[in-house]
Amino acid sequence: MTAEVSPARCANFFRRAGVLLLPLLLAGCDEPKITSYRAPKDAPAPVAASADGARDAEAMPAPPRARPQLSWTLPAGWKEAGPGRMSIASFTITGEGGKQAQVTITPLPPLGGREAAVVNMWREQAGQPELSEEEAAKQLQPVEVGGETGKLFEVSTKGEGTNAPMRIVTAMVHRADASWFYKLSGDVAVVEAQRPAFVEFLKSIRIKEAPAETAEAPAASSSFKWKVPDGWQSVTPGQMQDAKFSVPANGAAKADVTVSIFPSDTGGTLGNVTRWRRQIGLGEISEADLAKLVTPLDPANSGAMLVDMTNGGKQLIGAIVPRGGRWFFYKLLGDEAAVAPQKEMFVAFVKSEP
Amino acid sequence: MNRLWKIFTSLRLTVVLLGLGIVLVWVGTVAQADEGLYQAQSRYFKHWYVWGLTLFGHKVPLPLPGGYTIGVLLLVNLVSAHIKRFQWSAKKFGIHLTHAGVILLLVGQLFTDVFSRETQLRFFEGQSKTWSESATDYELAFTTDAGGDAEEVVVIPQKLLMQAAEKGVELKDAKLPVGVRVKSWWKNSRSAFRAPMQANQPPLTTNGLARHFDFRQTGETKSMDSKNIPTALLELASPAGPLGTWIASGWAGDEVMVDWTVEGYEEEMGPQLAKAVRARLTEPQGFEAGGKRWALTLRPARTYNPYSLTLLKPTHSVYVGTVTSATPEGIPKDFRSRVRIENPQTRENREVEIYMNSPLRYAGLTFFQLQMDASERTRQRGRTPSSTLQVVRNPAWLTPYAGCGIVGAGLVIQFMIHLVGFVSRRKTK
Repeated sequence: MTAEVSPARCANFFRRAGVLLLPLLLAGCDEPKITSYRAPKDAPAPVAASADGARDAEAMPAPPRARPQLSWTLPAGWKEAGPGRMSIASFTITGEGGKQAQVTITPLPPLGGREAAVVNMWREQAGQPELSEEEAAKQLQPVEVGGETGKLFEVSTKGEGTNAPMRIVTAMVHRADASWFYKLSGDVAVVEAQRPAFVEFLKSIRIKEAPAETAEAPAASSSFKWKVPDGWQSVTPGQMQDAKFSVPANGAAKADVTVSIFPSDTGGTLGNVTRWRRQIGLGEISEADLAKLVTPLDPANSGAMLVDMTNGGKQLIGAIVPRGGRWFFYKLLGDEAAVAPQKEMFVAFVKSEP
Repeated sequence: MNRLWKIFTSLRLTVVLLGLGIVLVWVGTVAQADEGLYQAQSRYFKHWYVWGLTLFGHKVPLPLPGGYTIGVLLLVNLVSAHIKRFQWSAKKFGIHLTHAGVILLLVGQLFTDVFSRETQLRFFEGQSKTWSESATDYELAFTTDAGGDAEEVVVIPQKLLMQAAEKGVELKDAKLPVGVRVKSWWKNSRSAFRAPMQANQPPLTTNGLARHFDFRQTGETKSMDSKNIPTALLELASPAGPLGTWIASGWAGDEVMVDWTVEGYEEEMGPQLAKAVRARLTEPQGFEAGGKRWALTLRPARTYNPYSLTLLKPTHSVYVGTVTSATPEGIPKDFRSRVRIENPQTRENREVEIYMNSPLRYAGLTFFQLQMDASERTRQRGRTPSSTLQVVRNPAWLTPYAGCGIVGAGLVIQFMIHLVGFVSRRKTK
């Protein structure tokens, strides 16, 4: 059978096919338009949740400490402008033709050892290319700040649009309490003229140390009802920790107890036990091995478990206890000689109602 | 008409089109090195024509028919030739079937191109989401409290913002709480924290985000390993009067970029400064209009679903012994996400595991495992593990399978018809 097809008939076929396809193709073309709708509010992303806060506590800087008191000799022509949002003091300098420069004193979290990053942060702001660590180190000159040796560096900005070129002279001093930044910035001519006065100002800084902290670290566990064993000292908990105790040392052997509470099991028993094992240098285990390692803690709470692991003189006794929709992670970690005598008291503590 | 008919049904046209197709694929592939994957795909394959080629870093001012032109002409040529030479004969059944398969492949590709959409769903362990977001496009979202856990949202797509910036027009709409004039639109930008000891140049504007961050326009990126982060300088005006100039930036509205920025500051400047950066970067930018408190964000364009996915457990396994100081993350062995689907419309509530080559197909969407940040190191660093799924909507996803199957069956049938005929003739002799 042979079908004779005329061009007209074929054109008709394509017309029909086009009529069918066109709406489909147009439906796929999304014309941008303003739309409105109701939606559930965005829930905040869960806060970082590590069942083990000990490492974080070590990594985190110490809690805020009292700042030292600063005094200085004010150079001629400088006006005190009071503290800023984060600066503890600021000064304004008016040069020729009303051109201005500012001086600020700002304490920041300790940045010792990160000088290259600081220099590059300034350079990025000024639109200057990044420097290698060695090159950045060459930018730093020693400068005296209140009897201590600080580091001084300079950065210039190019004028862009309505912004005039600027020069910034910064001195930084790393102290135990903070990294202190003294900055002279503003119109190039004013900054150049005031640079010697700025260096003298830095020398004139007098630092009166804050009184030593005698108060004991607040007992983070004070809101809990649990019975803390005799001899355990409450210390400031680290990040992700709800309580921390130092247990009596046994000679040079030391150990700590930490408690972290989370709304989930943060990766399950295997994940947490594996993490704990790594902390004392042990390798991964399988689910089957886990069953052998873990002992039930409370017949009334089937999810509560205890694990006791030792390696190379270090011992870790951990417990996971689900209570009222929350998971309590207890950990006694330290030198074997200090941990072993505390096991009984630790278990009693874990079992006590928090 | 007869001449046109002859051209459309000619085999020469097929050869020319196939030749042009080969050239286009070669040129389009080479151009990816200079233009980037997405732009090259769009300019060479998703357009009717290409004007100006990029070859090995050189601009060549030559025209070329685009992928749409070649594909549509091939389809018309194939159908026309088939209609013209159509002979209903059982002996040619295999040929008809093969042609039908090729037509299905071409039409299916066209439909995929027009209708398919790709988004990403990034969620943290324990987090539920009802939406996924674009990896490349952004939208300006105005949100206000709608009572309870709901909010009223008005969004302006990136394309409209770009058009408004080019034309210098004010965007007005009954749905919008304010009129929006896009003073500047930077397709790609950089941000820097205006730390108190280094805030030197005056901020771009004295409202909201700009008080704490500086933004600077930077060159468009075409690399697959990086993305363009737009920033817009907006002038808002309510019926009561002007509301000033505001900055809206992907650096603040894109969760991924916020995390990336904060991580960078944490590594460089320590956790305390990083915490301050996060707090200021995610602080809502708010204003009053029409008796309501509104917030504005430039965020990745969202697609909402009537159901939620909760990440129950992301698993990032590595090969044993590969976690070393040189490779602290280890060599990945398997990424998988255990998720819960909750659909109030169908009352569905079940758990599913998504892993490589085992995507979740649900309600017309396919969820593939894309990225994972759930390694041991992630947990040790105190970060909540997360997983990213690629969400693909492709109504024509079955056509390549069906097309190839039909072509294969047609070829086998045609071969068998010939083989059986040949064997029969030999036997007869």
